Amino acid sequence: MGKKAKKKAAKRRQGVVAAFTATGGGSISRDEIYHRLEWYFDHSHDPGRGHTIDPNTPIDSLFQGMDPATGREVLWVNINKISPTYIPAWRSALFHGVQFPWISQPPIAIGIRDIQSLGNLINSAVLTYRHFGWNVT
Amino acid sequence: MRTFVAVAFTLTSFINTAQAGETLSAAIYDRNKDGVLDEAEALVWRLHAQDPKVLAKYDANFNGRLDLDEAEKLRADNARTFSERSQSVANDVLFFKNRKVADIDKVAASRPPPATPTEAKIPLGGCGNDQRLFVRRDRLDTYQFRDSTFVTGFVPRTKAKGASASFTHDDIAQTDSLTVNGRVSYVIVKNDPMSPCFEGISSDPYAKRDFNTPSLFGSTVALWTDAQGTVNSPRTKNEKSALKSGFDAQVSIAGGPLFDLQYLIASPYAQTDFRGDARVYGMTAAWEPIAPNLRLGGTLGAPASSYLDWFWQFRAEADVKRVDAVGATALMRGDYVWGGAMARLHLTPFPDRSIYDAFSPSPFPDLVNRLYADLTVNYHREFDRGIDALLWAAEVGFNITPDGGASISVRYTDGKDKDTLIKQRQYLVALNYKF
Repeated sequence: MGKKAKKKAAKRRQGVVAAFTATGGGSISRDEIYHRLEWYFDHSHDPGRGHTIDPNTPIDSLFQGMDPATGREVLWVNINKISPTYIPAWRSALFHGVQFPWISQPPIAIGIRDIQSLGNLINSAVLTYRHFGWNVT
Repeated sequence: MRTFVAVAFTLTSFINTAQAGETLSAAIYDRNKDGVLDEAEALVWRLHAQDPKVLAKYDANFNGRLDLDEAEKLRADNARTFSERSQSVANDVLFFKNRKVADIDKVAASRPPPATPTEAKIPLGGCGNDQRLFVRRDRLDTYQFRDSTFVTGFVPRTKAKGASASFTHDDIAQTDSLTVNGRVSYVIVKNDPMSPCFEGISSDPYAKRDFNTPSLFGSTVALWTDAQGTVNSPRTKNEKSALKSGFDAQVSIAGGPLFDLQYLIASPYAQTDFRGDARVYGMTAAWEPIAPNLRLGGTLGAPASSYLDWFWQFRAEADVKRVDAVGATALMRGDYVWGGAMARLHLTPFPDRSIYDAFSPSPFPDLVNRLYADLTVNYHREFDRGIDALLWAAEVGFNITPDGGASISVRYTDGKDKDTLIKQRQYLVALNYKF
């Protein structure tokens, strides 16, 4: 990639991030939550190029070197530790400090213990944001 | 050898897969209640069985077709549930939108089936009724004593290797040999966070919790007996066996500033051999940390690069043992106080990045998930006798099948094993098969 192309890509990414952060402050889209989760699992994810991880992807396949039960426990702790952490690329805390649940309570919570796919995790995040007072569009 | 008799058996249970059967009862299709389905009644029954979601649901007068009022009810229900159904495919819409049709067809044809969250169920008969007895190959094979009654996402029993025993009789040499590799465990106390019976977390799923402070997250106490080795008749010089009994007391700690999860395991034990000649007593204490951000204990998410992925594992342990009789071991009488650690580095060249970018083909499709390399270092020091035991092994392998079910590997092992105090320098070429 040439210097000009790199600059263009960087500008495009900045634009996308800026557009996302503009929705902050109590309102967020499912689209942005999906992108943030993709970035959480793959820091090279570019939100300007559409979604790249299939929502049907089994959650177990994202745990490298861990059995599925341990993987879920580690994911629950790790994602909640990073949730309030400010990420410069997103110009905000990655998941705005909302706390993902471990156990489910239909219809208000999908616990990380029970999720089977990335799509389940996105749905869990949507319910979590709503619980913490966010308007998810 | 003219006659060779070998008996091998596996002690793990088998899971029967039930055949799918007829689920639509014929009872309500016997409209005239004469106890028999006539031809017209049987026709409607089969039509409904063929189309359970629409015809069976909306054909209220059982004539085998949708009349106007029934079709109107279908239309109204369809309109009423539009929003709910749209929500259920919202993630798919976001994933596929603005993509080329050819790319969509390619990805959609090979994507995994959709999954719904599986809420863990309390075992039949209550929380005290989950699986307690485990018959497996070794400690690792017990999968933290997790069973299929409540664990979501996988069934450890189907993945377990199971205990095994084999008996060989050589008719020419007039020798017998019995080899046993197995571990029987009985769980006395289990408080597993994967179980709905888990105590230690609020029933409010959103109860505030500090993830930067370590806290207890699950515990298990289990009795076990572990048998590994061979006994021969007549006795041979190289006969080695260990028969150990003890208990595991394990706790896991979640959260903390550095590690996301830590396991602490204490295992007092008594050891002998298959002939009952050895007498060894001891206790092992171990610590296993997991921090995916440091790629320690595994990772969450994408490979480090398109060319190489890696993670490492670490286990620190102390082992204190008293040997009263050496039996079929290479130990000497007296006390041993070992302190040390095991570290393992696992490398995967050309890792599979396809799940992180479903629309981009891999640059090395023929090499993805085929090669691996493993480096393991065990170092222990015996403090009373001043013995250093360094044992390291390097292995490179090639997965013959794309799923890694069969592989060929070359392994080199060098050093001294602390449990046997025997020096090793071995090359091993192996064909591995996993089922």
